Amino acid sequence: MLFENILWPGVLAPGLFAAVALAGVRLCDRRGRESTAGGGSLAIGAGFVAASAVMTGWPRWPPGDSTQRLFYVTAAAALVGLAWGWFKGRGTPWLVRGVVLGSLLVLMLKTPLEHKWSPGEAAARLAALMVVGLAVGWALEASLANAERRGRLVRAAVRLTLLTGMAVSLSFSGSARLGQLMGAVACAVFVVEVGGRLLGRRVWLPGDAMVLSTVACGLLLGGFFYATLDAWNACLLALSLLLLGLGVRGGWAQWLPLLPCAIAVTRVALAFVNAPDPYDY
Amino acid sequence: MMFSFRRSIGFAAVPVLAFALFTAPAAAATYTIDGTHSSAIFKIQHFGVSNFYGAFSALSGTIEYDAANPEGLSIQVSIAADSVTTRAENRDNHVKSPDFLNAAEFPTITFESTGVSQTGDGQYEVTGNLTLHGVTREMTVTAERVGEGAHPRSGKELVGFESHFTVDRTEHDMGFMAGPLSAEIDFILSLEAGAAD
Repeated sequence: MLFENILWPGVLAPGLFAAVALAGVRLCDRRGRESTAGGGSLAIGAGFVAASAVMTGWPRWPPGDSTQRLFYVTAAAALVGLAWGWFKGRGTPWLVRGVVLGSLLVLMLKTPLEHKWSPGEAAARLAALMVVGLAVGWALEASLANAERRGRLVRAAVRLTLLTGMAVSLSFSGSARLGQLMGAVACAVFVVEVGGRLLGRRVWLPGDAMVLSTVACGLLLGGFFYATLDAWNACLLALSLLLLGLGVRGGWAQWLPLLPCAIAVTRVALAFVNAPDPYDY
Repeated sequence: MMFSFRRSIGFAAVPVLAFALFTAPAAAATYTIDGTHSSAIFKIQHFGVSNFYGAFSALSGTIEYDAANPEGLSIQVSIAADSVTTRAENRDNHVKSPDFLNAAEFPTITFESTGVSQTGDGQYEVTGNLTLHGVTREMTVTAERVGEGAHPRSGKELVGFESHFTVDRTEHDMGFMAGPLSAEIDFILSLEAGAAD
């Protein structure tokens, strides 16, 4: 049961598919150290898609709920990120990121947009979430783009710990599925961090940040609007992602993103443990 | 004596009208489901070891019922997905989450009958559309009329039905942990409805 329902969908399948995607891109791109397509985008997308498909099967088309829509948006973001890095040699422009993020928000929040919010409330919420989402995308790109050898292991460790903390927070916030999916993303990122170094090229390349910000924001949206991730913890986790952008300065600032994440994990764990009735899934 | 044709038509019409009035089927009455006295209970197998029972506490809907015309029975039931109760707050939140019911996106579970056939005295086969987790599937269930009569205090006409049926949650896009938790969920739906005012 542990292997079939936890290790395989949440760790091994995403890791395996991420590794295959990463190796495939690196092998297909003959430009070597001049390569501008790192494969990180496709690896993260493949890892998330694999985990999702193993957990609940391939989602139907058209997608029926927000998690199924996140599946397709993430797959699209991965392909767009890969294509932009491969052919354009740079990160996706802000307009493209805005379109992807806007699509994510509208599709993930379809139910409250159609049934709960007034037009004014919807516009205000979407605008605020767009600002936060674009800021998260900027922060992740700043973090991934920092190729300085000094402190690179620290930066990688902070990113992985942060993603793992987000997975734990989501798992303790009423949805084991969203938590496992975030864990799958963390596994895919780990594969890219390790595989990229083994392949002797830059680990992260232009276009990789967009899919990571898309799936991270999507899972946080799912946890907040459809599970029990409360506003404080959602803000703390978003702040953690934003602080990754500050980590490029080195020194103590590199560890700062872990602080709000640790607070969020502690809050959800305490709330779970102190619930009036015991429940461990 | 001249026999008036018109008068003979009039005389013939009286028994015909009387026959029509006294033998035509009465219109089905509409009964409103009383959520307080109705129950929706489900059973799911946990890790292949035990059966776990939960319930929904908010039911509503209507029943069209005419004792003289059993196959005119029509049932429409709505259940609030976030009314699920499993006697543990964390588990209730988990069941309402995107892992299972996704109550925030799909707040209502509905069943609307499309056809009924009587299979015995008070026994019916009801065909209808079940909408669960945003997916609508046709299903046929057996239902039993438990009883009918007047409320002892208010005098309102009451009728009760009960049905036992099984739903495969994977057919409704609820495939998470289908293995450790059984895909098939057994339901007991017991409805009490009072004649609409």
